[in-house]
Amino acid sequence: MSECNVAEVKPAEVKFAARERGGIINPMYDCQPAGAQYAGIGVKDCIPLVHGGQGCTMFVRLLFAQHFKENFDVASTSLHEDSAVFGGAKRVQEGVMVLARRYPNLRLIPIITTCSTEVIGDDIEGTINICNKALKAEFPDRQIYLAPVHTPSFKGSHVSGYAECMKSIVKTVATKKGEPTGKLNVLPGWVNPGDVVLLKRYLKEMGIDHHIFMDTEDFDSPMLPGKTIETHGRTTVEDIQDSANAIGTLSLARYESDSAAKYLKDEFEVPMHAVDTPYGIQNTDAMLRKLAEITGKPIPDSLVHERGIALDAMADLAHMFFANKKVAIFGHPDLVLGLATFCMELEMEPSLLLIGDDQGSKYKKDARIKALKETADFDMEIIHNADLWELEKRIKDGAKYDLIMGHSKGRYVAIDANIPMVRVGFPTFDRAGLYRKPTMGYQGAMELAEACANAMFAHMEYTRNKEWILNTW
Amino acid sequence: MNPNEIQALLDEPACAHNNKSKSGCARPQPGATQGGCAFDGARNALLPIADVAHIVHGPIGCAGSSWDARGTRSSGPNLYRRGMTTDLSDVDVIMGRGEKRLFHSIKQAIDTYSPAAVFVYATCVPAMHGDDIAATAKAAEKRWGVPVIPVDCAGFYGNKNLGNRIAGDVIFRHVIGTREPEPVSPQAQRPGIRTRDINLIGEWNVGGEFWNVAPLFDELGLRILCTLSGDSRFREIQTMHRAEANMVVCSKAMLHVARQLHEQYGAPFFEGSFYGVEDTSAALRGFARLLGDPDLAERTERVIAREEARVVAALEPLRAQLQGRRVLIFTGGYKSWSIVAAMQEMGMTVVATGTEKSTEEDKARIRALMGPDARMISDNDQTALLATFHECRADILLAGDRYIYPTLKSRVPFLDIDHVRDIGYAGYDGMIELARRIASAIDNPIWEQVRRPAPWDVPAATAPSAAALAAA
Repeated sequence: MSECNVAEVKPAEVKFAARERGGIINPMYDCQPAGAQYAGIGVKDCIPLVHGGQGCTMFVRLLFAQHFKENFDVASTSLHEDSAVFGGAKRVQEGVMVLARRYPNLRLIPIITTCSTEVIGDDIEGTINICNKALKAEFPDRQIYLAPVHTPSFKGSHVSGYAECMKSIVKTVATKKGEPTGKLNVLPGWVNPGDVVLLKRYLKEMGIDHHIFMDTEDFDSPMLPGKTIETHGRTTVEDIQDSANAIGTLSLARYESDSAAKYLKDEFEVPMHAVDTPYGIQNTDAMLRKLAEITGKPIPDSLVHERGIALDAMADLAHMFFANKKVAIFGHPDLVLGLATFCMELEMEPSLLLIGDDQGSKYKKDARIKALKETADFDMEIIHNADLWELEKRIKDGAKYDLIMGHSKGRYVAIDANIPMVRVGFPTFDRAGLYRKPTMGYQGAMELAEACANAMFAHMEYTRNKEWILNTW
Repeated sequence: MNPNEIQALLDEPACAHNNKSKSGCARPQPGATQGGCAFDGARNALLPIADVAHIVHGPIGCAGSSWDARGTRSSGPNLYRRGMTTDLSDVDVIMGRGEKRLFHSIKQAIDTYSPAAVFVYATCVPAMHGDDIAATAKAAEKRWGVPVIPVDCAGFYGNKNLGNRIAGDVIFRHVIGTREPEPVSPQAQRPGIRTRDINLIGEWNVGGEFWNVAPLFDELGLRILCTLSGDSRFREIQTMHRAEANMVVCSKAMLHVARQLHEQYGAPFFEGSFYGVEDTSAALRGFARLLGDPDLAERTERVIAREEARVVAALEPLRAQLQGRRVLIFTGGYKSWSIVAAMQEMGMTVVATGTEKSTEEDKARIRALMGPDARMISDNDQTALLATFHECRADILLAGDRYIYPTLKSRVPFLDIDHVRDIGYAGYDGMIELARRIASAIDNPIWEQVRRPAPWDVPAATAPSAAALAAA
């Protein structure tokens, strides 16, 4: 009798660890002030004033312009040597007055600190008091809100900076409880106009009156004959004031919007509802059920239909093309964890998840990471405080990935290693029009699945790798 | 860096900005500034050095938002395109671990990539902290035997231009003069031609534009020891002191280096540009003049005659299209006149030019080109700029990339001529490319489309039919 070799089956392992701490090579993350600026431009008649060197604004504006192909107004106090020594509060005052004079419609200025001004220790709250008096004296008829946003860049990342600015804006503008509006606050986190449009459609189809914070729909702005269009957010100061009187707050991004939702709950007793970011079918199901639960309104047939279309499209692809394909995903934690679930719905194996940020301990309580650990039947690594070198290094060491999902800064990893890549997240400047495409909801899941499939198909063709399968598909 | 050192750089004696009673570099006003910081300027100036590791010493943002955003190209190594940073955290700041972090990051870069050198850029936080990056660099250099160059360029030192000067100063003090150039290889020698060594300072090889010009230098027997810093290598910069003549290409940013090379090594320099046919020819003649070499001068004239004839022929069909078209130029420094000349060569009318960062000398040249009533715009306000555009009935705006989206949104044809753009317009071939791009930007059918009201907004009698539209 021959001896037969019994293959040893190793149980699947999900590792959660921080990047080994050397320097960072090819950052996939940005700093807190960058995120704060993104939250600030989402409000109409609002110009963020960044209290720091000019570069803290210039580089970030460039990224926004690259991503949206639009310009956004962000101001700088343009910190210089003397301010570094003697304090820069005066420059904030000067900056606020210059902005108020230049822009007669200006209503909100988030004052965003940076690493340098946090180290100097400028008293932003005190300066705001002085500015408020000066504004009142010079513009007695105008109300200009000044929101202090403390975002030292040596802590957290653009993700926490976004959350911090959201919270501070709400705190500054929504100051008193008034008549109930019957509206729902929806906080999607840092998303593209495409997702805002999708969420608005879902809410409309369910008949839910709402405000979206921040409403970035108009970041995709039209070109109209005979008109000058300036691109800005659509959320108004009134919308923010009203957030205190809403029937509830639905937070869709744990790391980007939960803190503002929590503030509204603690301060104004606006009930807070947090769900996992609605990437993929299950997460969207959960969001819609939560909406139905909050408002008592049923999920309409139109969305059931859309769900069916998405499932049909995904079923066509899932087993034939996606099964056991290894995926590396990088970006914002809410995005990456959501996409991991989405990939698993399609039988893909998200085997490397890179999330940034040095605040590793906060991920330990994240139920989504626990769930991944319990459900993954393949090896998975979740690296926090990561850089793009983590991905590149693994590929160089022989790890095989069939697909990369992430923002444009990782494109050269994909190009050099000849791996198909789907651009998602921020920034995505090397593919046209992505900011307009939804990634959330049923439609987003379907479009993302098709984008994955098409990226793989194109790759099969260019590498002549079983491209004939498509003959009969 | 202490305030005196900064002031010394700002007071650069060779800079025409400083010939007036007041320095030409205005102090920025809070709330009304655009443009980068000193860190931006220093890194932009040195990033094109292709074979070194560029490590940003600071929190995540300085590298996080700025890496992978410069269109300079390398013919070989691509190490410069990596974004490296020490990623200082709050604990590092509180505990004063910055220098240690930096030391480890330098080690990581050397272990991973074996770079020719490591450049370390200090940002605001380490500068406030008092991290001694010079000492750290020295220690690292000693430990691993790789040159480590400290660039003290905290953002709050000043604006982008100061950063450029800091970069030049660092290069002069730490790198230039640390190696002798190789002898000219036998293959590169041409019978009867004496090879002369030169440098180009402030040429960034954006979009590979210098490759348009480089072959002409080869042909003339001018060996470029180094282009600071486009497509350069560390070992090339080390030898810059041996050049016999230097040309300062981009504005005032790197004048400091040229002046020091003149004062300490006796190499004369001139300022010039490779934009437009006249300037390119003038640049080539400049070297023949400075080197005082009659043989070179004669060969230069032959090359110029040949190239100019070639360009004239290539531009002929485009000239008909561009003749009389009105162009508004909004750019800074030397480009405010060098591009004017290039446009006029094409038969275009320059209706106004920006002088935001121009010197009196630049303005004099503009007047010489455009007449005493030349319209100059010094305010960088975008709305005002677009108003001027319409007022002057211009056909196209040439400006830096920060104007691209508002301009397009206002239905105005636009061409990006910033130094961070990705397409090169230098030299004779660059001129042809520039003319071609202007022509395709002005006459793009999309402008007709976006300016016309929607068909239903026009009374039926005047609305063009679909057939007429198709014919147009």
